[in-house]
Amino acid sequence: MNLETIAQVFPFLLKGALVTFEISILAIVVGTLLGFFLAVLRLSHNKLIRFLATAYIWVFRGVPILMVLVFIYYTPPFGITLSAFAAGLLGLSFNAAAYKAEIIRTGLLAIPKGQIEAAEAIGMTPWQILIRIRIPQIIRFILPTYISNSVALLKESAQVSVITVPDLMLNAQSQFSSTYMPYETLGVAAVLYLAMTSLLMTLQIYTERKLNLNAGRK
Amino acid sequence: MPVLELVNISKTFGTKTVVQSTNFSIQKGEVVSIIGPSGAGKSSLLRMINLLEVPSSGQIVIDSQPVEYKLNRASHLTFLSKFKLSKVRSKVGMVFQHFNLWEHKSVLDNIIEGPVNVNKKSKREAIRHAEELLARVGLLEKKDDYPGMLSGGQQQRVAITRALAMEPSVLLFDEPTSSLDPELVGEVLQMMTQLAEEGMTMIVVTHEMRFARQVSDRVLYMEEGRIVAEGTPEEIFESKDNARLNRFFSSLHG
Repeated sequence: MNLETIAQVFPFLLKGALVTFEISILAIVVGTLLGFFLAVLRLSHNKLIRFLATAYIWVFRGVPILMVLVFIYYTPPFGITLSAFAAGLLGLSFNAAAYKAEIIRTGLLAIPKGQIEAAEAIGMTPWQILIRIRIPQIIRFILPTYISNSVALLKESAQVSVITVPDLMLNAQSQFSSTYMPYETLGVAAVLYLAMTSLLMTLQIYTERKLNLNAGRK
Repeated sequence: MPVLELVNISKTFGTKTVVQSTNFSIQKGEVVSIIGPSGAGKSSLLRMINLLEVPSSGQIVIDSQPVEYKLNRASHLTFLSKFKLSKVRSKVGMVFQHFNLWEHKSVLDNIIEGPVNVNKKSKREAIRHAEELLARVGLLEKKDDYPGMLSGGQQQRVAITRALAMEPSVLLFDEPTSSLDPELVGEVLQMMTQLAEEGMTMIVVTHEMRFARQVSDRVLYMEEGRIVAEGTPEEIFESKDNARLNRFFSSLHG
């Protein structure tokens, strides 16, 4: 282990890690919002809407992220040119939305109907019911699956390096090619990935405590 | 003047008629029990009062105001109607067979949810009122517990308290003791009896014949979506000349 090399490459790796963190968290946020929307559409009474949402999920769950990224970056429609970061973010978000939609749908379906009826009966508006009853309960149901999926997304974000987003993977690889020291470059990058995924898992533990996830379970 | 009136209310699911052009009204302070075999349409009738089930036809009048709502093509309430119904529903309390307490909220939070978010009371005032109501039914020390930690009887008493905290004009009970263990039925019925004595306007769908007989001012007997017999508890329980009632009562005694 060459400490000098580590000290030398570390700033590059850290810079890459920040890009990885940024693009992953943004993709999780956008994917969750879009996924929530898709989940609601999948439960619509309208057949066409249901079909479109299902088709979206079918395509984006079924096609490798790498291909989605390449298509968005190199062949965007209407003459749009996207920066590598923007294309990476879009690709990851589109992919994340498909998974998040399925996770959120499970949560929506798991809420006992009576909980919603009680809220309606007391005169809460649909908006209040969404914010105060549905979402907190959805979070309780889906949190472990949701975080696992987010951890997977953070790791898979390494694929944006293929379309030249200067993320942790790209920087680690370029440092590796110039030093040929795998542990000092890729190894350190692995530790940084682990640190970031650990952060998400800590968030899970914190949220579970905060929400009294196990409240009153005998 | 009636607190609540149902005019010519019907409910059909496809070709099946659950409630058939039924009229019903209740005066302030009156306690009405609805009895009858299962599948008679009792719960549907009750649930239509606050639009948890949407009538196929007919009019609902609460505090002399006709309830207005619109349906979409799938016969569900439109999104806008759901917003507009909020006010009407806040005046009609509902107690469910399965309590339906919000599992992610403590007992106290369950009770203040409506007063704070629907009636726009201050949180402090809502807590004070909730604690007073809880103390009256001896559940004050459970205020920080979660529903899952309580017995069924305690959960139902909290659910009744949650409905009371909204200060409703009328309280609806949908088989409030049907999912309780036999030894827990008493505490809930006792709370309901006390409410009736205090002058609360109540409509109770129930299989507890003793409660219907001793506490109600009026009893409705429903069968196949219609109110078949209606009268004071004496008239209903002591009439021997109604064949349908006789058949129902003898089926209860096995």
